[in-house]
Amino acid sequence: MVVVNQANFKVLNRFCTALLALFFTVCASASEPEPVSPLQWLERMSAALQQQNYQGVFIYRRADDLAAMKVTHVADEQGTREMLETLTGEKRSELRFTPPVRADGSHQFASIDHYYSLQLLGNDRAAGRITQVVSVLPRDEYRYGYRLWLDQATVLLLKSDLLNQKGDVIQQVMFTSLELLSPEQVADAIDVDNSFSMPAPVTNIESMTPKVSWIVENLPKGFVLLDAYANSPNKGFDHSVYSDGMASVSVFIERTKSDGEAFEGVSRMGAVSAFGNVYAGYQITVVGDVPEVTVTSIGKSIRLGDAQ
Amino acid sequence: MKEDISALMDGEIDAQEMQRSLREMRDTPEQRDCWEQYHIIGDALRNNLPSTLNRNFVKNVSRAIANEDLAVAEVTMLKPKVKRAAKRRHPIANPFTGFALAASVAMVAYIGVGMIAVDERAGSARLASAASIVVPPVQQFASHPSFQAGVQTVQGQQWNTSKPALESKLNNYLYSHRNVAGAVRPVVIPQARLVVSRPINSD
Repeated sequence: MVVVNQANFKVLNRFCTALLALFFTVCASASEPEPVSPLQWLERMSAALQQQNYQGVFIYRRADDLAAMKVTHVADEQGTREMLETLTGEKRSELRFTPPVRADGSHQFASIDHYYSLQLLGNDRAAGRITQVVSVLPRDEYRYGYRLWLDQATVLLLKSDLLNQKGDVIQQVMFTSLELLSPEQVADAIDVDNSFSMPAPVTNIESMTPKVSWIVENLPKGFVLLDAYANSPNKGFDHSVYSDGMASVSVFIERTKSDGEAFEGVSRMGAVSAFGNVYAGYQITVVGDVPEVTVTSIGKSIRLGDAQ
Repeated sequence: MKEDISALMDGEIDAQEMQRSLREMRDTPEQRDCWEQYHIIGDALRNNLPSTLNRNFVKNVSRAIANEDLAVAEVTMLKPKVKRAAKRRHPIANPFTGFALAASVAMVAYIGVGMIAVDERAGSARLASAASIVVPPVQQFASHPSFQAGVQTVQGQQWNTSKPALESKLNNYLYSHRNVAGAVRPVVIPQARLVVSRPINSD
């Protein structure tokens, strides 16, 4: 018969607690191993956005322009909410909702290394934290390159460089401070009416495309149709989104208006390119965070498909 | 109740339900306000807002509802009874008239009124908001240009065009692009979405 007095019980209790802690630590390590490849870092970075709650200040730089913003990011089973506030210039803020990532989101990076060259560039510091730097360079002219500073502990993106074909930095975003939010802080971080509910994204493209179908004959390799949003015929526009896992491009198609000025040609704003074309009585506009050649290639090759 | 109001606006309820909805609206100022807000948003989404919004028009409609003889409403209800579930349109298939969705987006109603209050003071159709916080109309609403007249670029960001109308249009498209591209997949560079945003705080 084993007799356990109070002192022994306390020791036993501590031992069991320590053992349990060790067990859970090992389990946690096993379920979330340290990323070793650049691709794993990217996948973990993407997942971190759906899991981490944080608040921080970052700066955004393009050419001679510099802006500072505060971001509060909360993620839960309903998706993510992100509050953005400008700290320089005109006072503006915005609250964005993003629904939970769909199951197929895990394949986002499935073939990314076909179109980008991935490399780990070692450690650096950003926002006072140790980061892993990941290089993502395009293998063709249809996409930009990226240098990403990922927090070693949380895998959150703390700094990013956007690179053109020559390797020049054309846009930078960098956190100057970052604070992870506790559950108590999360509750107060973004005060949102709980009655707001996110509509589900459209997945059935065929049923959403009214009367007219469109074909992109010259879609750059690696870009796939992610989603399509169709408006009522002759009233608004159709919107299709393509992505190669890193960059994304939108195609907007609407009836040309007699009182409106047509948009034809290329326009740019920093790293964002736009191409306009009028075809078969429709205004086609392609917009994306990609080089000019990409939006031009897509915009010039859109054709009417068979009527539905 | 908000869903009932939106269904009422869409003509998607039968005579009995309509009578009940009108009675409740007549007796509840909050619901009359809701009705008013939905109409304003509906006009904004359909790009039907006049250059100077006469809110009396909507108020008059609300007042008419308040004084409505419900018996008349019942008699003039000519639409056949349709099962709401069967007739309900997919919110994205026809997003700007499907106000059952708007009913669940209570904060959007708040935004709409906030914007228009500023319009009245400014005497123009410019959409700007005095509201301290805005829930952006995600996806359906955000992707409609008529609802995005307030989209501007962050400081220093400009399209290389000298045509203001084109710049505004491209801003709207970019705003839609950011919202939808961010909603359908994990966004690799979340901060890159910040190139455009809606003006919110005007203080």
